Amino acid sequence: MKTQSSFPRRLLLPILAISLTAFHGAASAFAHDLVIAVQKNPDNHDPVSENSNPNLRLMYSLYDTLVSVDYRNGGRLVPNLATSWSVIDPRTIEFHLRPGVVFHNGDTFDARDVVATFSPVRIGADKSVPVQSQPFFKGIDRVEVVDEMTIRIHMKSDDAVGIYRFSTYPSQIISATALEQAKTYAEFTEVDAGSGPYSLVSRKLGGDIVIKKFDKYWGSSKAAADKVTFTVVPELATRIAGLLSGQFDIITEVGADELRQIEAKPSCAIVGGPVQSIRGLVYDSIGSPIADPRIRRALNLAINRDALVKSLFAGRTSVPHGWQMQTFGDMYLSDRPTPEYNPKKARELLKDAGYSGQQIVYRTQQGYYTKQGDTAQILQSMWKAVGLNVKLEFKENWAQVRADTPDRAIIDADSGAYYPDPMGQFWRRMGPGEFTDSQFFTVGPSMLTLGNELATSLDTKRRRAIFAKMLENFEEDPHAGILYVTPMFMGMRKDRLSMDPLPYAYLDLTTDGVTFK
Amino acid sequence: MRAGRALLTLFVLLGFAFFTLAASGDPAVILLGPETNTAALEAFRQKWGLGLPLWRQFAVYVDGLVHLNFGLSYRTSGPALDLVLSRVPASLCLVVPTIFFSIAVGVPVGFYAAIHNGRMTDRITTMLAVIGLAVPPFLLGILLIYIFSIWLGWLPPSGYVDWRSYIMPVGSMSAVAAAIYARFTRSAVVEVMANPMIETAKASGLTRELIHRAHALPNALLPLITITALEFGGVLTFAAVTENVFGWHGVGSLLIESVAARDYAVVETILLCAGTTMILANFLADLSYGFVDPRIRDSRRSRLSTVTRLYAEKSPV
Repeated sequence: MKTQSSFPRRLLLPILAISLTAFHGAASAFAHDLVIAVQKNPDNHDPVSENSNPNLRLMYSLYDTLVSVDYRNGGRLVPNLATSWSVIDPRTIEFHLRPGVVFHNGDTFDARDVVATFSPVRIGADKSVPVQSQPFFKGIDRVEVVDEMTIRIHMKSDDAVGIYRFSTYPSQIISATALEQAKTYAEFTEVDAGSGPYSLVSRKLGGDIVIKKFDKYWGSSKAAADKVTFTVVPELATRIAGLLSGQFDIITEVGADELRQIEAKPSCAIVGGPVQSIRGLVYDSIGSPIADPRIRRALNLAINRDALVKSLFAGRTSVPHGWQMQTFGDMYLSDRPTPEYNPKKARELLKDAGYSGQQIVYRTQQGYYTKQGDTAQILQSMWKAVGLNVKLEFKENWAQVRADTPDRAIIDADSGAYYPDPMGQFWRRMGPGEFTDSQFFTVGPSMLTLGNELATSLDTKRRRAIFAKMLENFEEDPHAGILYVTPMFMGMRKDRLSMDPLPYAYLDLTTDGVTFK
Repeated sequence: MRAGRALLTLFVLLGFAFFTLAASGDPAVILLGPETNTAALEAFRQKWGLGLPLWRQFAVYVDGLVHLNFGLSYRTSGPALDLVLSRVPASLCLVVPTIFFSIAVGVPVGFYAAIHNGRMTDRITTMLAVIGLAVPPFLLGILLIYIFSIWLGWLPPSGYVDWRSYIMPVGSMSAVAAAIYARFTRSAVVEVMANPMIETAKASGLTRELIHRAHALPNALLPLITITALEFGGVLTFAAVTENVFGWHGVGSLLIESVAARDYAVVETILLCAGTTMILANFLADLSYGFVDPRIRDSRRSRLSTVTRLYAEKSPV
């Protein structure tokens, strides 16, 4: 006999059972699998479409470049997809391509792929396709195919860092076939067109990205893991819990406050530290309350950078010697001091400038950069100490931060050294480009002349002198301020692996970067 | 009439969301990042028609909706609806068990408190319900993670690993929902118990159990149906915070991602789905009142019979 009460029981239990089994992503446990919990995964993995840390992190596993920068050996250039290269003249570089390289889609690597990589649509020449590569590749004139395995890249003008342009972001080589087969460029951005040590297994927007060891990889540094899952865990507390409890092997975007908590657990460790980037500020010097260069100099002189590094990062990062990184090699000016901290001089400059407490707006965000909000608050009090009236405004996104209103004065910025050369960092950021386009500052004629010579001269001694002169000029009329070398920390299960991370947003998951225990 | 009101509500909801999102951030700058170049920004705006005035962008969007086109996601260049639907199963996996458990716990607890009205047990359960309502779900979630994942090491804290992955997210969501059920059940039952018919039933010599089962509970059912409808209506957005804490890739976390990315079409599609579910759930709840409550059923019938009679009187025979 049917009873009334059997109705909900009959209905609810199957619903429960169905809903519990409908969604699963069964986690298998192979010996050499890695699970990496990240704050965010990239929306697409086309190098030129997305210039973000999540995309750079993945790029190193999926793609190769023609040459690469060996950060573990003082930043020297080493062969990659090109076995050798020669600078024929200041505008032309010839590359001899590596035979026997296979892409993940089965395509064999040759000159055609290099042509496709630097084709107009991928270097910003097609106005309907938004790409991020234009500032890096706008100097490319054409790619000449000498023979199947030799190409020459011609630049529009003499290029001091020509070869470096093909060593890192966004010069990752793609398979020409993959580009040809895609119906639209948007479709191409979703496929795996690389030849790197790992190939793409699956991706889900906002969810997991799974890559696996590419057995036909040509290089000697093979994939360290059989399978790697990048799983999105937006909450830092949850990422840490997953690391401590053993669900994750690596977690990224660890804050400075959590280092001790992770290190307190014997099975876990912190890896990473300063990367090739400078965390700083950008000043709006056009029609803003800080248009007078003396006020901007005072802003820079009032910052006690050692105190920031000590209090926010427990000394785990450093203060750079001006706008340069030690990996610049011959171009590193080792005699340059770290930015001066001199509150007395700051006060004098403000007095000279006739500054009498006008409000200066500093727009920041809570956590786009590590310790961003805390840094901003400390800066505000350092500035207050010399008599600067800075108003902090916390914003939700970059559009709000950068909105060009009359009160815009100070914003946060991070300046990565894309090439181990001032052209890849200082002049890329402080020369004509993004900030001059959006009316933060203009670059004076004398700086422009110096910048042009820095970009085109091939004489290292001369370039060093020019760079030194530029840094001096910039100090007198600063459009930006230096804070510290950007740190990036990861948590790791040291009972399972050891890591030797690159000082870069790239995550090296080859046998050079990860060893299983 | 009702359908018109529902459509108007949806329209206002969509319009409000669209203009607030657009006023607080430019999708081009947000998606392409702080270091992008002007040419890329222009290309992006061109591609997505962001150069048009806002009201025209909205008009284009509404025109699409009328033709059942929910728009494209800026992030995937694919249909927003596909993206939303791909995340629905994960959310349902949390929401369905949550509603089940919150009823299974909340209703008996509320009922128990009501029949012990004013006594210590009532105060304790009421206090627990207030705490359940007051503690924010993310805090409860993180607390659970610290206890069960870090301390005891029993449960995986993030995403789906095996059946144990459901315990903490469903638990933390159920705590809030059960508290709501408990409080509503309690007040409804207390009200019914004060009704003279209960005195009559007692005087007729019925047992306490029979009075509770046959008189108190059925009469308290109506408000519970209303709440269940509301909970189901919020199905898609309900889990947003919990999904974020537990690294669960459902509609809730998609909503957070899409608002942050100013992916208009996706945000609007989620709101549209949530709004429609809520309206449908309320409609179903209205219908079910008739089955549950004989008085409503009878009044509907009598209205119907009045209409039939009037119609019959006016029509020529």
